Amino acid sequence: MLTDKIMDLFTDKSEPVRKVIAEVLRFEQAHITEKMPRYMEEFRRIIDRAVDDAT
Amino acid sequence: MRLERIRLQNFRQYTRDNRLSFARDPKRNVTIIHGANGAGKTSLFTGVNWCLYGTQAFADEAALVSKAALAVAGDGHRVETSVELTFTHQGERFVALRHLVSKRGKDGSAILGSPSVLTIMRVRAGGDAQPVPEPEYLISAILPENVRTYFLFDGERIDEFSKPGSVAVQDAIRRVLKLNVLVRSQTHLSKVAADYRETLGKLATGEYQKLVTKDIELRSEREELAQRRTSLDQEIASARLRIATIDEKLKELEATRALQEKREKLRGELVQAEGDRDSVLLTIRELVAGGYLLLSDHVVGKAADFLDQKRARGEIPGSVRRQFVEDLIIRLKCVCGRPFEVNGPEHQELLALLERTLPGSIEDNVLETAAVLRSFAERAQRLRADIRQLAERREALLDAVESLAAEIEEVSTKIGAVAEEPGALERERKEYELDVEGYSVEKGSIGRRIQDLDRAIAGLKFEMEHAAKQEVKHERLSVRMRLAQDASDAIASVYDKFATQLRGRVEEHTRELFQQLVWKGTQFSGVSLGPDYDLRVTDRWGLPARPDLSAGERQVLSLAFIGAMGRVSEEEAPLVMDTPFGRLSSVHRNSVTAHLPTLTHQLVLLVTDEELRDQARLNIERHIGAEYQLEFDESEGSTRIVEIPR
Repeated sequence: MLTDKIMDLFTDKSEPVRKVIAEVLRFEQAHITEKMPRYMEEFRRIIDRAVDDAT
Repeated sequence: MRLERIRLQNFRQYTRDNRLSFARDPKRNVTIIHGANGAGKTSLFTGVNWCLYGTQAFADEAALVSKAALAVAGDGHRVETSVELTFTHQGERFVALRHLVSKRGKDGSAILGSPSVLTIMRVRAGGDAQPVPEPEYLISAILPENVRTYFLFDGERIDEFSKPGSVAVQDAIRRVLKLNVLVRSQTHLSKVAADYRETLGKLATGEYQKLVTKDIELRSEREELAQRRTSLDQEIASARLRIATIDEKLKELEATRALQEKREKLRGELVQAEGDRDSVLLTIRELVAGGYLLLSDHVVGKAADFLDQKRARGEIPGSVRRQFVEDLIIRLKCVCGRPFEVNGPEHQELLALLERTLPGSIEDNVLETAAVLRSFAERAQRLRADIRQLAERREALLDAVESLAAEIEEVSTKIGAVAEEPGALERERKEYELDVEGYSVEKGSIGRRIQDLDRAIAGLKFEMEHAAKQEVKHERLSVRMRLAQDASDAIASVYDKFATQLRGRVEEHTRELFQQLVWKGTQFSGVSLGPDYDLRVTDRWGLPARPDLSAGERQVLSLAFIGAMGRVSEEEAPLVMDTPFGRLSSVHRNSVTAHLPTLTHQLVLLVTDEELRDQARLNIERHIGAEYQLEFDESEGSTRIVEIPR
């Protein structure tokens, strides 16, 4: 997947940031046809998971 | 995604059950579907699009219902239209079925009850099939609707990419190469960070810090007061020591000895009386703490009287138990042992009594309640008597304290009136006594202030615990806000780099493919993307060649670009082309057909006989895995898919 290649550009970022970006890209790719995907709650969950994993 | 099979039923001119299997062998990945103009190529192409994307691909669904099927059906009869597409994706096999139910109207047209419905089954190796919960979501994840036109496209519009001023190239790069995914990710993450920031703004009142400061102030004041109280204790002890010393001296002096001794005796009595007075007051306070008995005394008395009256009237039992009456009736014997007859006066009396008695449990409760109420009333009476007695005792003690203080004052005055040394000592003593009194008042005041401070500190502790929880929430949100913002910033920072990389790769592949596909390749030195993503072709002299490109060359340029997009995106998507070579001259057809099968994983070409013949046919021959002919039956007005054996 192209989004996997994009991740190579974030090697200098912290693990939580990389995790958030990877999951957000996956979500956006799956919902690209939706004009207003319900991203807010999903992104909060993604961020929660990244923080939990880091602590 | 790789297409496996399509099945059409009552779909446009495909009236019967029509099936077609696509070529999937990597070496023979081309499916050729021949058809004359109007034979059903575009309908088949529409069938693939409609099955996957419904009204997004074809808005007027009523127009998709087979007219031949409608003609056969009677007025008001159902006609079922469907397209079933079997495909594989990343090792899994799916069957997508879009189904539409309509009825024939009086004018013979299709009347739809509701829009079409898409069902997708995930088929396991053993043949088990499970429905995909959100079929549209699955299609969106595999091949989003907004990029489908770059893979399933109409050959008539193929040169849109190469038209001057076209935004199609930029749009294709943005959509197919997921740049819009990056943009949306960055924008949405930024909005999430802003949302966290807004919540933080509401929480960040500095309340906890304010409370901490307040707590420090209160504790500091308390500490100062406690030190002052200790200091006062020392002052009082010192003054009392001085008074005791003076008292000793006064006893040693002849003139004041008797008065001093009397004063000491009176003082001893005063201390005793004050102690008793305080003790009595304390006892009264303790008794009054149970004052609810006194307050409820009236109500309790009324309730007990009410129960007594009820019992006296026989409305609730007195001491006669139901069980006891029942026993007498059964035995037909009085308590004295005298027998009585059924329905006799004794028997009638007992039956009447039984009616007035209550079931055992209620009876017990009534009796118990009455007993408790009586107990309350008795305790209240005792309490009232105790308090009255103590109040009288306190009054007496107050009088005694007042009397003793007056007597001591009188003795002190007498001592002070003595001339010379005793008088001076007494005046000094008086000063010390006033000091002690002043210190004691100040100490009492400090004690009250310390009590107030202790209460305030305790209250503050509760508030601080609450604020601390908010502080934790604040910190928690801060971490999340920073993470969202960092991720958003990171995407923004790589966007240009990534876009430039992709743009370079698209340019490189388009240039390479264009050189392969165009028949006079040596006449063109390069293909590039301009600042506005417009496709630029330069001729052998380094000059812009686009205005001079023929329609065929523009189509080849578009094909080169589509091929480049497929390579760069690395998406495994079929390339389904409806009438792709209509505008190409034979020389371009030859070069395109020589390379097109290698541009994609799976190629489906819907062509007229004119489009694919001679060298073009020979070029593609070795890649053909399946081939069909669309035969239109004029009598039925329907198309049949006929496989051409290979």
